[in-house]
Amino acid sequence: TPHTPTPLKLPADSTYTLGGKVQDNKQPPQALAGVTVRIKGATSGTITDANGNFTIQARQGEILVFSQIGYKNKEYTVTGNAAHLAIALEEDVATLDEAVVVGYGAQKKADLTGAVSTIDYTKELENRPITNASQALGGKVSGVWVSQNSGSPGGDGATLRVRGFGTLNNTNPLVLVDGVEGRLAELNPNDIASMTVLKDAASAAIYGSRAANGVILVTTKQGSYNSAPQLSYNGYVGIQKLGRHYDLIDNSVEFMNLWNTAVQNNGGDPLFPGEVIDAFKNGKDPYLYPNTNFFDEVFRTAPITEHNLSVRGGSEKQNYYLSANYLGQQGIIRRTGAKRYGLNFSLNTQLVHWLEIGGQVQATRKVTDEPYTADNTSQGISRITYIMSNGGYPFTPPYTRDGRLGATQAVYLSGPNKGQPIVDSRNPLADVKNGLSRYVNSYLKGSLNATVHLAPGLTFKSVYAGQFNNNRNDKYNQLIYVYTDGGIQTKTLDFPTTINNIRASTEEFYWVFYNTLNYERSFGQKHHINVIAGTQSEDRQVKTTSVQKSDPPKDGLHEVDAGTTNPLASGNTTEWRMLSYFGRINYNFNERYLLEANLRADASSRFRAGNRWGLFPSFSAGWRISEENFMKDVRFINQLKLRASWGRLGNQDIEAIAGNYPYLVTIAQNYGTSYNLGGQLVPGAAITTLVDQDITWETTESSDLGLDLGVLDNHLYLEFDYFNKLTKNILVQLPVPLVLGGVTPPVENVGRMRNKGFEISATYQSDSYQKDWSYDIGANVTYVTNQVVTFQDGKSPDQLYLIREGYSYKSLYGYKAVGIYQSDEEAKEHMANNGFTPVAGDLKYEDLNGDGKLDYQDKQVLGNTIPKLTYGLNIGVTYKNWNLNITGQGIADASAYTQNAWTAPLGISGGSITKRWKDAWTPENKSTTLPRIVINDTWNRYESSFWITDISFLKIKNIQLTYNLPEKWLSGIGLKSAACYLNWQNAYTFVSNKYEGFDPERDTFTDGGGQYPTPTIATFGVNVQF
Amino acid sequence: CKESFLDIKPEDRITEDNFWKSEQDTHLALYGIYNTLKERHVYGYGGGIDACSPNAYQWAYWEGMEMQVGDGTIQPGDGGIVSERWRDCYKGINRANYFLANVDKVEMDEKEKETMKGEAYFLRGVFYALLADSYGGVPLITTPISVDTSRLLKRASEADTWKQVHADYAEAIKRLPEEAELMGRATLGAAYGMDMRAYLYEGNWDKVIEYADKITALNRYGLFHSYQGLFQLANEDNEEVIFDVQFMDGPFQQGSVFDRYWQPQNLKYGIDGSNSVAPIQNLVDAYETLDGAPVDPDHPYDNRDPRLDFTILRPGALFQGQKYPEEIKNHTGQKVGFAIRKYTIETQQVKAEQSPLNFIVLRYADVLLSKAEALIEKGGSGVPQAIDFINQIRNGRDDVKLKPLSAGLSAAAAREALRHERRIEFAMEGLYWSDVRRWGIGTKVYPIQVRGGNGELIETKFANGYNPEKNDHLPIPDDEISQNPNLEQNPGY
Repeated sequence: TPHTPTPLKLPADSTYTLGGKVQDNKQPPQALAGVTVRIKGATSGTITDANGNFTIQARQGEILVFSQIGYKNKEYTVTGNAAHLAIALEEDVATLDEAVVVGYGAQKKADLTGAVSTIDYTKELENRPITNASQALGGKVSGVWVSQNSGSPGGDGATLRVRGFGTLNNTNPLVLVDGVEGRLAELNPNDIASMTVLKDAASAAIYGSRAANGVILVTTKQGSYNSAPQLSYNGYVGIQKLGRHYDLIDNSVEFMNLWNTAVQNNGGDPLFPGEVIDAFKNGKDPYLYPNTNFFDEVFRTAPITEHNLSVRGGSEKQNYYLSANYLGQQGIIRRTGAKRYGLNFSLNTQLVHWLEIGGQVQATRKVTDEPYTADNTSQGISRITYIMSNGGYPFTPPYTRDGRLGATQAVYLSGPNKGQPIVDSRNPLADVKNGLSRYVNSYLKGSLNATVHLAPGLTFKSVYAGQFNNNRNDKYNQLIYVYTDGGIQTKTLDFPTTINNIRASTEEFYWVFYNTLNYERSFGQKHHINVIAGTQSEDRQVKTTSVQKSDPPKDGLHEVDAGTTNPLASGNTTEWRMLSYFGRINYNFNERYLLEANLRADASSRFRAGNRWGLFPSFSAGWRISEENFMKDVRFINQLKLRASWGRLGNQDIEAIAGNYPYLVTIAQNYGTSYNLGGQLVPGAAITTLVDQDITWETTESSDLGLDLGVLDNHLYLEFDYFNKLTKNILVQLPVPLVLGGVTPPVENVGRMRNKGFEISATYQSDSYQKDWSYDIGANVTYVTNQVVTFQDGKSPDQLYLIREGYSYKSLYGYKAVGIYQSDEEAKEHMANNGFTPVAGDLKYEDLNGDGKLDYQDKQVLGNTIPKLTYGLNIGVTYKNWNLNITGQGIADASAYTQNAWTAPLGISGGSITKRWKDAWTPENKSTTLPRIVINDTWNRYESSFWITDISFLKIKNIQLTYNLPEKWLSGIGLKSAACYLNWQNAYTFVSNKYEGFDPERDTFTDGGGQYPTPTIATFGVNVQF
Repeated sequence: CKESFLDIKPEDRITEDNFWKSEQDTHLALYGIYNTLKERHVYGYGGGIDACSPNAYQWAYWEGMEMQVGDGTIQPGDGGIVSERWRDCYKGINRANYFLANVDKVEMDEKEKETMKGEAYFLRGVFYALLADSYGGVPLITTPISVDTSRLLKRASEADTWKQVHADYAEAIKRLPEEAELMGRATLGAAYGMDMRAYLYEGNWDKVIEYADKITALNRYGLFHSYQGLFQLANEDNEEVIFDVQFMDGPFQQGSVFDRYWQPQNLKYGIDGSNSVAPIQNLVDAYETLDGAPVDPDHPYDNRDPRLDFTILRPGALFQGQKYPEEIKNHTGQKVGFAIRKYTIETQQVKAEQSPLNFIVLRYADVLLSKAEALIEKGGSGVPQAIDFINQIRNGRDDVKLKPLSAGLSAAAAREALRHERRIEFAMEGLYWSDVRRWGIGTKVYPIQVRGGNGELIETKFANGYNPEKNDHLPIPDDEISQNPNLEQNPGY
């Protein structure tokens, strides 16, 4: 029988008197009046007086609960009499009166006039085993489109877009971590306290020239004064599996027959002799007659685990936060994986009553491994998916019967070539096993800040932060052979024969120094102002080095020094700097009328002196209608606020197209412009890039009209925003005629683009008083239409991802496939004047101008790649200790171009075939939507609507079931709280069954062929607080 | 912070403020023009251009679109040679224009400056000649132009384009020395020779003879004693070479792609090639037997013009000690049983795209055959002399000894003999496509079946017949026309 502990006998007079003061955790602390103090489980209690003082009677072991709207509950366990308890309440960011982090400060959410969304990151994270902070935003915030385009361990950050694509250039929002520009990938998600998205110009204008794509403010966790040490552990273990993928023909006989058909359709003779096909039909030996599906071989079920330990707390004069983090993630593609180690320490000290200083050190090391990839420029597994999609034939066994890598088993059975392979070997496992490419990312950030209280309401703050970021890639390759069952050794397609030992390093140092002066004061009862002014300077320097040598004398020598030939070195420095002045005024009349104005002036080194300065103003106003006297009787409305804003923002993030000196006429001198004479290199130089010396900022003008509404005792909260963003002077490289000799076009301020739409978010939080269960539902919808307003006088070049006046940015453009020619005559008649005459079974394209030939004049817009509608849905249900949480995310009205080596049968020189091609057109199978399958096909592979699919989807992003362990279990073992959960991420996606490919949550500006598919992940985790 | 905080300059490149200051700068700019010669669709693809002709088939059909040119399915939007030859010839032209417009800013030795100007003119002539041959008339640009101007250019007539070619060569001839300071720089002989080729393509026979004679009169050039050796590393820049594109090995992108593209797959020694372009049976059949007897079907490679084995890797041949195609193979999809042997390096380890072997643009054999052709086309008394030139090619070297042609051939028979000799002598050197078009024989030679090593049909070149009006020129790139309404497309496209 279980042992039942004997209840501790308390003396009869064990009622104690407790008293003390409740304050907030700000510096200096402010007394909190009206805080409810009650005994847990009982109805009795008291409230604090105007000075924050209270007294209450309680028994040994009882728990006092301090609660106040806008603050997190605090508990205190009674151990004896206490007259001077110091209770510090922490602000709760999840409530309506929350303080929202805004640019260079914080504001009460009720007083906001801009379009700002916040998520309480702690809450989101507890529900999700996310590996990159960016993923947590998915489906949670209106106006923000989150798309995780890759499942590559260590490289699985999501793409974030705030209110559409604002420019033709970099559209990544500016990310500020505790006020300092940073990257979400470098953060330990567990260290984040909250994230705020500044969506409109009014809220973002304080960041001026870099805010046009929206701003994401990340606040990391800090300790709080006067709070006991709190030790937390959370961690999870899980498995990841490949989700949706290409459905390949893995039957060798079917495959060979289709290939033969494809060759015959091109006027050739069959490639695979009938006797070979028959042998596969009848053969049973899996090594001689394999039917391989390389998805089963290249992909695997991979483990993932994360552990996070943190401690936070503070005394009267100091607070601290310390965390350690480990993430280990193996990839679902074999031999890929990443490990991340993180440390974070922050300390704040109240030095004297007018001066607080603080600092933070954050260190992250990330090690990402993958097989060697010949491509120097991209991190990825492109070669493996390349070989799989352009080969990976079912008649190639992954391994031979003696465990070596397999070569093609389709060999001639007779004739002069008896025993010889019919096609070459393409075993993707050779690339999977090839060498190693290891990326080590070392990140170190240190920051110091000082806050000086100069006078009542007047505060000076100074922040310096430096970030060091080193990305090093070490890689080497090996010679790996594949073998036929007969033992013939060959190589797989294009397998490198030179052994290279390579080290490439990118070292970045960034520093920023900013100073702000803040004055906050109330005049009389009704006027409240808050003014901030500041300066900022920053500098980012990136140094790249790459060295390489080839042909080490022995296996296993992977250092560059071991190489004996072809020494190669390159190195460069790029740098940009910025200088800024900014200011903001808030005026609040009687908590009803809110006004705000921002101004920022920025100068960037990326522009010529004289064009450097940009001025970015914004204005906004709010009217809290619900505070008006005439609304007092309207009981069902708790909150009602109207907001309006206008502002101008800038963008100078053009490094990708123009580098850091886009105004400078340079003459390229490199190997690519040099020649050699008599066996000697003679350096040559040429103008390879045209320049517009007068380029300057892109500017975005943005207006916003918003409505916040809280009804049903604030259970239902609605936010509605209409926005209209116009970006002018977009920096673009317009294609220039080839008669200029293929020079890189100049970067010019030419384009205009508009994004307008609306966003709605609604949350409903049920009542939980006296009930065992509660629920909450959140939904958000964003509708954005994008239009290129001005671009090259409407005469932009024809291209698949069209950028043209009047159309959505990167609309899909090409021929419209209207059917399949059912006879040669039909084709000949339709394409009477075309240089090439298609035949029966070929796609029929719409001849727009009816001239009997197909050329650029017949191309048309076929779909938009930017989703017009994005939405998210969150449902949470709590029953007693159980909690179920579901997050959904989706897009609608978007298309994707899907022609790649997977979907196009037989790739370019032989390749995979998806199962749908079994229904390809033949004279016997005319009622199909698929054209005939032809080798060396050009006609059917023109960029056309045939290769475009609707990519609207709804994804069940996350399902989590949590069990909070009952307190009575925990108190005995010294735990404050403990929860365990089961989580299923990327659980299921609803998408058109015409869509071929991996996860439809992907980049729609590519064909999706080289995508590292996002896995579906199941985890078990625990959260414990000591 | 002061605003000077923002003044940062790159330290990795030359800016225009400090260029055209020294003699060094003029050399940099000049070699920048030469650099364009290596572009794939200028001369960088070498003999691969033969895939546009009856000589060869490009199975790697996506690589440069030679296959589509060679079978008549090329479209204006197909890219590859269509846009790259256009773009890269103009790249060289713009660089030459930039040089010529600025070189006088630099004070330097006048003689050297004049020579360099001559080279710039010469190279511009080379680029315009390639354009005229491929597209017909093209926009003529002789000074640096603005982007706006580039969108308004009109095509000159084909005749005017050739006039520009001759004008450039004339300027070059005024300035170039007989011997270059560095091997590979243009010489007087090169200018004469390339001008001769331009006249040949125009059919201006008198001028062909005049310029061929000028070259001979320089007394510097002759046939190299070995046909096989002509294309070997050890014999680069021999007396037969009049102008070549220079390559070197090493990882500096200064090598050619030939070995990477022409060699077979899976070699134990040498490069791992892809056999992108393969000679076809039609070319193999064109090689004569030594004694004029029919080819022995059981031993088809015995008793053949030795140039066959020097040019083509055929079944049963030994390549680097390995037997083709049993031990070394073609790339998948390339079912043609042959590979290119000319311009591959068999004697040393070569890395991908680091092939050091120079590509000969013009050699003395071409001078002989061009003059022979001009004499034949002029008819009459010159024909026997022409036959003599052809016979020099047929047995003037140590390793090519064919039966001499009779001096008494009729003009028509001599023409056939000349055309045959030209095809064989220059097979897989990128010249035959131009010859087929200027001779107007497309309708006669096509369609041609391309068959695989096992005799299976792969495709038919010009299955629907050859249309000279269309197929004698490349289309103007689609994108170029969509950016410039003044550009007219070539007929048929």
